Amino acid sequence: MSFFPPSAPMRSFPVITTAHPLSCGIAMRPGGAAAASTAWATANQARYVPFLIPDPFLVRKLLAYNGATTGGNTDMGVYDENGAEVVGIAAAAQSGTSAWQEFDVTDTWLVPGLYYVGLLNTTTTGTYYAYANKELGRMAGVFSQAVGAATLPSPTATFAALDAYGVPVVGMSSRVLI
Amino acid sequence: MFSPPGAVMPMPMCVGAVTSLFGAWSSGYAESATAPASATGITANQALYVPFVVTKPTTWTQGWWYNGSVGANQGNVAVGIYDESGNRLATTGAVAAAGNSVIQQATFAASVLLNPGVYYMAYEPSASGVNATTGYSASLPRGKFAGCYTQAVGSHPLPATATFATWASFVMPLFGIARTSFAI
Repeated sequence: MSFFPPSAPMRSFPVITTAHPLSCGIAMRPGGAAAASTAWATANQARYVPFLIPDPFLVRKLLAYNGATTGGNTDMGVYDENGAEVVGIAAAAQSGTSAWQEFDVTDTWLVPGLYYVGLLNTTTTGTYYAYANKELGRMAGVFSQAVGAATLPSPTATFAALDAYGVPVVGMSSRVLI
Repeated sequence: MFSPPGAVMPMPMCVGAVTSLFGAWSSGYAESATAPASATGITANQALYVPFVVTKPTTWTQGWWYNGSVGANQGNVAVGIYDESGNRLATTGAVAAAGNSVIQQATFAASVLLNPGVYYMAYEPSASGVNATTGYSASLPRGKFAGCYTQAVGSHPLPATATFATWASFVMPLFGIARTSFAI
């Protein structure tokens, strides 16, 4: 007897970024402008980008797409839809221009659900690739938080309406080699 | 025969008619090569119904829409949710449009728990001024191939029971629903 699964579930991809349909991809592109190098604008500000995880996903790395100028420290973490921290990196100096910066995390399984990848920079000069259209970001459910500290909140983020910066390009990977 | 349990696609915080994987008009949006812009051509007291999919039980608390560069030209706006039979499940009621080129939110009179299925999110303005809303000026086929409906309600706000009719709008506003208790 041939095997037919009861339904064909949407599967998680090995690398998921802001531009993916499981994140903000449909909201930010193609209707809005392409992502561009953008200064972080507010020191110690966090922005939280949503990711839909349809089946168990092993987080091994978090990714930030650095812009043309680096500055300060980057902190990243994964939060659940209630703002509870799931896993985070050790904050580190932003390094590498116009390239992905990869951060190892403790390998952590995510059960299916809605999660947020948080990104924070300690300066206003560090740049990341970002989609500038704030209103499209709000439609996609992107949030921000004036943390006022050099690292992302732990153990709980307080989501607030997205500020004017827009939507940073971040990602999570279940692979070590990207 | 072994049957693994099917994974349930989680729901996002916000579902937009146009801007979400779960909103039907995303197909038209993806097909579009232009950015959304202030649009002229919405019809006063015409309801727009856009299908969306719910994959797991979720409670929805708010409606939102993207005002155009002269947002007040919509007059009052109502956003709601209908089932496939046209029964209204949630509504913001009539809310005066305020603010230009920004998202405006309004809570539903009562939040609604939706089980998995297909529903329609609805938008209705009471006026039809210039640059009232932000969205797409689009040919009729785009709304039709997305499974959208319209209704010439003739009054405001949204009716308790929708009478779905063939899509007849040349504008698709950016609007949607949210399940947050705070501002998006």
